[in-house]
Amino acid sequence: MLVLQFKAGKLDKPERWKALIMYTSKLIKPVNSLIFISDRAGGEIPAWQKDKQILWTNSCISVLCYPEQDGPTEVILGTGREIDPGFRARFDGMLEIPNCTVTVQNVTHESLLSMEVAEQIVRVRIWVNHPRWANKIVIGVG
Amino acid sequence: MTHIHPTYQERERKRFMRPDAHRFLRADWRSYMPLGRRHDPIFRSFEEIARKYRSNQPRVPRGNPNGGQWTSDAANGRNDPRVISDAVPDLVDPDTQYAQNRSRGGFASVFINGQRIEPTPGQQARLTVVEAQARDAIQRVKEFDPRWQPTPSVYESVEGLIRSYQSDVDQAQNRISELQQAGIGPGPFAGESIPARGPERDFISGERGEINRIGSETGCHTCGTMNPGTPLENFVLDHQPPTAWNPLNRSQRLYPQCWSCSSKQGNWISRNGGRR
Repeated sequence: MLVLQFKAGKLDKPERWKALIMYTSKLIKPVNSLIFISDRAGGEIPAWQKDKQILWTNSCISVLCYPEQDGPTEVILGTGREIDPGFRARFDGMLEIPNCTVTVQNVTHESLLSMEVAEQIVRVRIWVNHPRWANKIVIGVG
Repeated sequence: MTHIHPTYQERERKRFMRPDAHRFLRADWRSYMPLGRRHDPIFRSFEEIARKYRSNQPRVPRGNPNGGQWTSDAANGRNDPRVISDAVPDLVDPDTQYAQNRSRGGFASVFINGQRIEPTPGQQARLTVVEAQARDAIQRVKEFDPRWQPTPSVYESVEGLIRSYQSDVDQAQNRISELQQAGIGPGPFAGESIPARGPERDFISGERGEINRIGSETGCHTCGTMNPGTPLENFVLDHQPPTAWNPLNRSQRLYPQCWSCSSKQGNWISRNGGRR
């Protein structure tokens, strides 16, 4: 119905955006300022490297957030085609998702956000608004 | 009459001398000793008792878990890097057949491959020291990693057993160092700390201010840097033991930590199983 309304031009711009873009977001202050993107069952955590904002393995991506004691970080999870902000992604790669559910977890493996996908290997793109202290992280899947 | 080796007699006397033996001596005992008898063994023995310790007994140096404690390693004391005294240790002749040791705990005999072996007095002393060191070091690791065990060693002699204990000490110290580098446990640069109100991270401004003050004086407790690495230059308020790695539910304290070490700690905790 929404698509039909959009095609018919019956939705104004902000409403069109809200209705058609499928994403979830959360304002978080993760412990150790660190989040992990992986399958809901977890993945192989990448080895830590100094001053690297994004680290990855085939089954897990870690992303440094804004320092927790200085303020929150907005994390947005959605389909890549829809939430692409239009500039080059900081990370663009394939991620193994055996259970077809992409989750964003903290260091104690608590799920913060999740999203179901159709395939077991999906393209993941990550956009950040700062090369070191990003307080907005956009995760596009597929 | 059976001859008893004087070295053995001397050793037995030291073993069974009471720690407060000096109280049995009169304060003016020296006035009763003729001047010509200053080299008499009884005079030296009284001197030793009056001093309450032997000045030439080697000690374990500072920095060692048993630093400052006496060690009576007669066989290898001079070559032992832990011993700082350069005094000549008491001689125990390894070829002398001593009478049966009276066991008072420790290592009067050990079983190796099902065989009972009598260590020499020097080996007994080294075994006692190194076994205590191994026990302490392993206990320190288990406070943060209860499942950790040193890799077992195979040995066929008392010297092998000593090396096995020393290996346990080395492994435990390496593990402690590894944990400290990962931000588990107060790090090598830890100075002051403040008590944590709980595992929650709802810090109040007083706590933030105090951690920033400590951080400006002693730096990150893990790496020692004075730069917090954060945009507002606030140090991370690090719970120790970490909330996600506090197997014994010990009370926590807050230490200043830099942002880089904080992320390293989080990565390590997540890689090693997270909340336990």
